[in-house]
Amino acid sequence: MQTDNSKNIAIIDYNMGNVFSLMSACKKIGHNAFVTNEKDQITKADIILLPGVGAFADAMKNIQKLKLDELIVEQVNKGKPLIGICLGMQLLLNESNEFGKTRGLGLIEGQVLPLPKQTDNGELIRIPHLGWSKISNMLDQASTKIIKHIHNNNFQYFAHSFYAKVENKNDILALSSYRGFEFASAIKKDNIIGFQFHPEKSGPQGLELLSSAINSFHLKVPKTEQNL
Amino acid sequence: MTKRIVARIDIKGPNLVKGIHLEGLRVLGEPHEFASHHFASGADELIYMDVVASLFGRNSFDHIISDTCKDVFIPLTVGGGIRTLKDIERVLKFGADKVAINTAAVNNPGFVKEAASAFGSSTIVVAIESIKTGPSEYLAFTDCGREHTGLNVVEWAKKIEEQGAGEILLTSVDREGTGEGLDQELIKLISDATSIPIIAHGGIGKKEHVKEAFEINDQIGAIAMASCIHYEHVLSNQKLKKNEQEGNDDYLQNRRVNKKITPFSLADLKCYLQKNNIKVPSSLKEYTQYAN
Amino acid sequence: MIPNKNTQTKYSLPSEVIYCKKCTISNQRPRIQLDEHGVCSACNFAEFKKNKIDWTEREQELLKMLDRFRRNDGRYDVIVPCSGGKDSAYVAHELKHKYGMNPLTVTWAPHIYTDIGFQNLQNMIREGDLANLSGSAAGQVHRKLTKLSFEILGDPFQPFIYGQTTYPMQIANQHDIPLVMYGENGEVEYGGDTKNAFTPTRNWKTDHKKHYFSGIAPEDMVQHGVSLNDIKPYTAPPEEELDKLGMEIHFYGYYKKWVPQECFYYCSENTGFKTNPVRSEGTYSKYASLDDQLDGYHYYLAYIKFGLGRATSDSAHEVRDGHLTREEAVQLVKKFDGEFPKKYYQTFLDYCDISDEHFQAVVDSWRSPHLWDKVGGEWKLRHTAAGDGTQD
Repeated sequence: MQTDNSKNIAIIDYNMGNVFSLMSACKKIGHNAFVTNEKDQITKADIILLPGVGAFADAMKNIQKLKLDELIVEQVNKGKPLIGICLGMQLLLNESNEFGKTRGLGLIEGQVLPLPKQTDNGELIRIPHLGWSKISNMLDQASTKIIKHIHNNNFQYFAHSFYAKVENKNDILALSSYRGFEFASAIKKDNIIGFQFHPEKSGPQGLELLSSAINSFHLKVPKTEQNL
Repeated sequence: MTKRIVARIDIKGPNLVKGIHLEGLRVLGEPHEFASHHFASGADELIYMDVVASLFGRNSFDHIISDTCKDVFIPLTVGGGIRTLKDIERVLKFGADKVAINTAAVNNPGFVKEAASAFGSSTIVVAIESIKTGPSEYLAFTDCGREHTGLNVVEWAKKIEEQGAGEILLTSVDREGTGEGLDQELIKLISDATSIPIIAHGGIGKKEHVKEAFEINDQIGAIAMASCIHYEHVLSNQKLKKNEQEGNDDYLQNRRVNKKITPFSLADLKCYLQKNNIKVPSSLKEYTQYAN
Repeated sequence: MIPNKNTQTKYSLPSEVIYCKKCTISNQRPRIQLDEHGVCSACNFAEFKKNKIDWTEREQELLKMLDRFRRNDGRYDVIVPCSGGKDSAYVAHELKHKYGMNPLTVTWAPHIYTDIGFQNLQNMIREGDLANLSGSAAGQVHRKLTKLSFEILGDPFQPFIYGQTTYPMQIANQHDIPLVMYGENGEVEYGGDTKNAFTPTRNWKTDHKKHYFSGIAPEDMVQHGVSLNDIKPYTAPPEEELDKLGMEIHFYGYYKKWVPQECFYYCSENTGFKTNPVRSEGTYSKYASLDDQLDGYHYYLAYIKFGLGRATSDSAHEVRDGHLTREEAVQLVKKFDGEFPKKYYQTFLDYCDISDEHFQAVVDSWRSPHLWDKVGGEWKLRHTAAGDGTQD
């Protein structure tokens, strides 16, 4: 259902990630989404969606091959809103330590590390983290204004073996925990948002969250509430 | 840990079928319709299993996958007849999030590793069809419990974890469709031997079975069910029909109640589990804008 | 070298092999008819069964009929010939628990029980709450007859079929129970003689020899060197005694719409029926005909004699019942039909006290040249349902 608020959303196609579901989700919440890796279309889009499932190194390889890394960074630096999902969020960071060091897009300071395989008590943690976990907002009033619905009862679907260790606490939008291990489940910096979970697979509350995230890019946050 | 409730839908051609011991082609209706219903009722995940793909050497429900993904926004695992990397790629393109493989993993050593490398561990589920062949001895089968592999399920589970599978879908063929409860001994054997997520499946006959299973073994992250939730839908909805083109509708004509199953909806199950202190994702009724 | 049995003449089989347009059966099944559209009598009957029969009316007929025989004093009032399998267990259970009859299930034991077959019978008795009488023939005689019928009839199952047919009649006579209820009318459902399509009863005076005994009644075995005394337990009681009893053999499939898969579901819920843990050899199915270690050879010989094996007969009725499309059935036949039953081969050889060479020689003597072609040292069918025979 498209309305006047419909955005044109370019879902980056670099051969990794469930682009069909993302497209369906965007359409369901009233936006015009298309799957592409063409410079023209990406440049013209209102918002870039960076999906991803699989290995960090393979993803960067594919992205670099298509020269999408330069394009994405350029677009983001020009102020284009971007949402990274799952591996797509992890790619935003500086580097990953999966099978040796691989450089990421470097848009948010931090690195990608493996989830622990044991709790502090030595109990087994089953990896990948596959399932629904709550996302809790940081005690950041501004962020909750920007993205509604991040509150303490919001379950989202996760499917990952690595997590984002973000350098700057201010870049963390939401936290989740898996078997007692806490990690950043949503990150935000300027015009970039990252979700470790899959909002497009988290039922109605996922769609709400995705919708809010997309709409948040056009919310002007007053200067007084901006610094923390 | 928050537990997952998974709705499993067995498919033959255009119809949802429900067997016992993974045998029998009783038609209850159409897959997409059931998927939408269970999604609205609170399913955390969905499995679409083509139960005849290996028998007929075909894959036939790509359009069912994509139609479903247009309005069912929970993870979808697709299995049945997935033989090559190209099959996996195709099915993911149509909207699936994970694939379940069995025969291909058994017949082609190294396929799981290849697939996990190419698509990520969290995309690759290995389905184990287990049949009890002796005291504490279970063997793995393929083709809905038709073909003998000779593999001991514990050894096999360890092997597929080594190869990089992200998850195990553990089906007790002995219990499947009987409503006699999950096979706890089998589940414990596999959970003791592995460190990847497990979806336990086969035998849920009433809500209590689900609660007990999570209480007895907290290593189980997810339980898949079919008979209880599908029969609940069929028995409370006289309008449900099979696909016009094919399928036997003798059951739908008389809709006899199965006395070994106490059907329930997923909404009821989740309420019940939460009342009994089992953590499951909240009912979606609060989020009405996009709930069906 | 065993002379060829000339099955074409023996069974009056047409020279030209034609497959039914709707299912996987061919005109080589004895007594089958294909109509002008190329559709077999079983498929035509299935259509009729689905669309033209008023099953409510038929059930009324059943109730009236059962009223004639029901006894409420604790004595058994109906005999259900029963293997413990899905068909007979369903009939017996419904007769008791839905229609208030007091059935006695009567089992003519298989040659050698499979574990699953024996377990299913016990489950039926316990969970299904059904009384049972089981009979076995003297072991050595039974083995001799099995070997003999394998050689002269191309079906080792003949002594089993004799007992399955006559033992219930003997029990009916001895226990004064006139009503005998079988499951479906196989002739009508599976493409045999459809003369009884509209009657609920079997004519036990005239039909046994032709429809069930392949033309050789128990008494006829005397011509093949079996003594009268040895064959006596396989024979029906004298006609006069059965007339006095007023014995009637009915088909449950006349009164209730017969869908074998639904019998399976029913028995799984009500009589503790469990499927085979693997598919049966020669087919894809796990729920049918599970109780005898040797039954694979009955189906295998049917494949040799008529080109129609176990997967063919399983898939054909499943097509008619709407579970499978013809294309799917053809795939299944292609994949499984004629698969040699390896699992109990040595058991079979030992049972019949024959060698592998003798087995092969007997089998080959039942291959008709109008069906079989030898290509590169291997036997292949000239015509198949898939249309990929050597002459298709």
